[in-house]
Amino acid sequence: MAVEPLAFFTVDSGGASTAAALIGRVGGRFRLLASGAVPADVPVEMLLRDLAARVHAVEPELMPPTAWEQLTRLEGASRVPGRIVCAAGTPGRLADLERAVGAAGWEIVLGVLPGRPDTLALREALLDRRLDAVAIAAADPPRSDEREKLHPLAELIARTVSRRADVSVLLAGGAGEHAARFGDLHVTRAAAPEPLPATAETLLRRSAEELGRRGTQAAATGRQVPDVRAGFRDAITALAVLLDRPVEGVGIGWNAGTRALAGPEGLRASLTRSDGGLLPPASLGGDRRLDSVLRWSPLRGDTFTMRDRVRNLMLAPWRDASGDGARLRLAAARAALSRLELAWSGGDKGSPPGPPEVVIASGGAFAVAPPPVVALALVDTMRRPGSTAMFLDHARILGPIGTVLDGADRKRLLADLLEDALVPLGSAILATDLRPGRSAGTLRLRANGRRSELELTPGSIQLVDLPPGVAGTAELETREGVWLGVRARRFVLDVTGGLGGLLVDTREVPLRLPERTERRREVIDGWERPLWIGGEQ
Amino acid sequence: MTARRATTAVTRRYTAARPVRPGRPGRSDRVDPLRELVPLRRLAVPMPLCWFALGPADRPMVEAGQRIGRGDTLLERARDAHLAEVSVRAPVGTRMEPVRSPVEGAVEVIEPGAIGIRATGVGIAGVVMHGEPVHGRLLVLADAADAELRATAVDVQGAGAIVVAGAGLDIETVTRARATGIAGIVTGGIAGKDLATLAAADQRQRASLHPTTGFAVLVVDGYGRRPLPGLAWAWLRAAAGTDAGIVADPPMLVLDSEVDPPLVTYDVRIAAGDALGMEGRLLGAAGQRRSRSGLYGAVARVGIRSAGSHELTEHLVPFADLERFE
Repeated sequence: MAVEPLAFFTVDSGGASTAAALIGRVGGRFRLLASGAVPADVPVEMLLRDLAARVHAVEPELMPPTAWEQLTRLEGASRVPGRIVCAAGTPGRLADLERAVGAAGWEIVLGVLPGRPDTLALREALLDRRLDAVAIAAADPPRSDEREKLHPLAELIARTVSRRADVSVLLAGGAGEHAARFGDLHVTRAAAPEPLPATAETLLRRSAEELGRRGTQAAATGRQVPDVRAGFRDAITALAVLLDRPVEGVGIGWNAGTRALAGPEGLRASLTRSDGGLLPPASLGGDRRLDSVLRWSPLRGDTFTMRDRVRNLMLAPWRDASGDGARLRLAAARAALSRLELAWSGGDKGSPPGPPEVVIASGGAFAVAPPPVVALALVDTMRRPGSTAMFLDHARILGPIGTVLDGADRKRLLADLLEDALVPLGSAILATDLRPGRSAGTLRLRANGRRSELELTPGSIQLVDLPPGVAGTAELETREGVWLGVRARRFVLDVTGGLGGLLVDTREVPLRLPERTERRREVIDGWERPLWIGGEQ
Repeated sequence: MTARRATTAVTRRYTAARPVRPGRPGRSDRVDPLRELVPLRRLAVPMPLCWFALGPADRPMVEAGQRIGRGDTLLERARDAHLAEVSVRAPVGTRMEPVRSPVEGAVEVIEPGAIGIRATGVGIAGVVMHGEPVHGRLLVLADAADAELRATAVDVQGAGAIVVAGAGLDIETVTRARATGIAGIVTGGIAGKDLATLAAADQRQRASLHPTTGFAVLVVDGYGRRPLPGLAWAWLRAAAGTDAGIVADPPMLVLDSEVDPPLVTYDVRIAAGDALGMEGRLLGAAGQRRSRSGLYGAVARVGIRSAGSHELTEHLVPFADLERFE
């Protein structure tokens, strides 16, 4: 049986690695035939040829030896976050601007107010060769005091960057009246920033995203290709419509992290953060960022040596993926998830609705850990009381598929590939406010015609065997009541199995790790070790 | 499969091929397509474009298209930049310090924030550079690419030179090098905490506004103890005694254009794990193997020759832990 003409590759060109998958139409539907990933420096053709060869080795009729060269590629790339200086006349306006621009994936190198920082420091930042853009914001129309404060600041910025053809300018709201100062520079006028959560899809954020997408290129080919993070967001939205339930997606790459929540009605919330990447560029210098990774690491070693290991991970994230290196990489992924969670929660600006019924993880950061440990990392950092089914986009195809322009084609592809593309990690029940006592509560699981019972222990995480493909019902019963978004003494929840089984988590929200380094390592190791299946202990 | 074949390392007898240049593996031509699976690292960069930052009160002293030699003044840096009313309020400085070019070449571009110099010669790329651009004669003090430089090996004979330190050196050696007038150090690796100590000392000196003596540390391979890649070691030894310059952007040692490209006799280098720094021939692929973390990945067969022996010992190494150079 030969592959019908509608066969293609998906290619996700990330900052550290390139993932590709061979999709073929077999038996009337699209199937994932092979997938793999290589470091970003390796030519993508080597990977594509290898995928085709693997399929040919198993089913020669399905993929003749040289047929792969003619196949279409559905390609997306993740750009290196651009560096931007943000300026406004008032602290509130600046905070609103930074929230929108930061959620669009920009790395904010400096926030500027009148008189802060000093003129020399500002000029130095504006002259930095690595700067890509400047954003200035004001209310629309600006109040007279705001206009008065912004006028000299905009003049100074314009005078300094106007000689730089390589810098783009984003003028939000009333700041647009300064457009003429910037001469021949590329100027984008956008809506004024609003006091909304970072996850809100505002007009300003969309403008900032479009500005950032200029020049997204695939590392391997240098061609202009769609933004794979936007594609991931669109794929999550399509999945939520397809499954008719809330779906949350989280993608951790080398350069940035993306999170999106969608429901049957469409996209509800999303953001992309440069500090949501596995190891943002700032990690090389500052010890604080390195230590935030080591907080999640169960590895033993003196602090200075471990910091150097994290720095080397930043320089070559595809190396040392076996043994201890994998655990260190997972610690970095947890730290990235935590930073993304902090931005997602929004502080005083409120948080998006949740919890989702389905969480899908994607990105090269999760490629070096067994699926059960990935499930644990999600539960450790994305803490919403309730029940969630978790999946892994192991072949990183959601991003490229999300770039398909036709919504109907996108849905059809996802419907066919759902089972092949998403590895079931399992389910998690996160129940808090469990009172310690002789019998804190009980969980009864009915699945596959069998019943099992588990005593609930406050402040713990317990693993119940629930294999992939098995669905069940979990009944929680407590004397004092438990919090799963609402408080009750008895809950009945539908759960699905996966490689990580069923995780019953009664630890606090947010998760508090011991302050003492050695105790913290013991605790994290205790959580991880049972799930690191197949590894040497 | 026999138990012997199932072991990780086996010893086979290979005769050494003729010396080969990087990129042309000779006897291992038959596995050329596999070499493409090994991440490529651009270590030797011909005629690199080197950038020198211009601060708000700094003054460029060159023009676009101008040819420059090592030691020529590129710009004057204001040690005490401040704002002054000079028709308009502008950054100025009164203590101007010349920044001299560490490379020969031509001024390719002058931007508001930087001067770009197209250097002649070859740049040996590093991963991080600390300090100010410097130049001097290249002095190889380390005994081998994987040897560490001790403080006792550093003395005033190295004054004005850029010394090659091997796999690493401690802060005591760095401090002694600086005190004896050494202009710069090239090392395979260095501890991050030692770089931080150096940075703190430099900051104190800059704050004092005393005249500064240029000093630079170029790290070629990473943090911690890391042997110099064989290709870098070969270039450095070939360039010993000639003038070289360390630049910050990109972090690089620029060698004189008269230095002959060295010959190397290996295909790939192991860049991570217990065998870090070993170099050898790519013999083939060993398929997908399970690692200590329980995950599967593509693994290569790499033949490594022991010191003083023609025999190659086979190592199984994940492709992702290898690197090849150009």
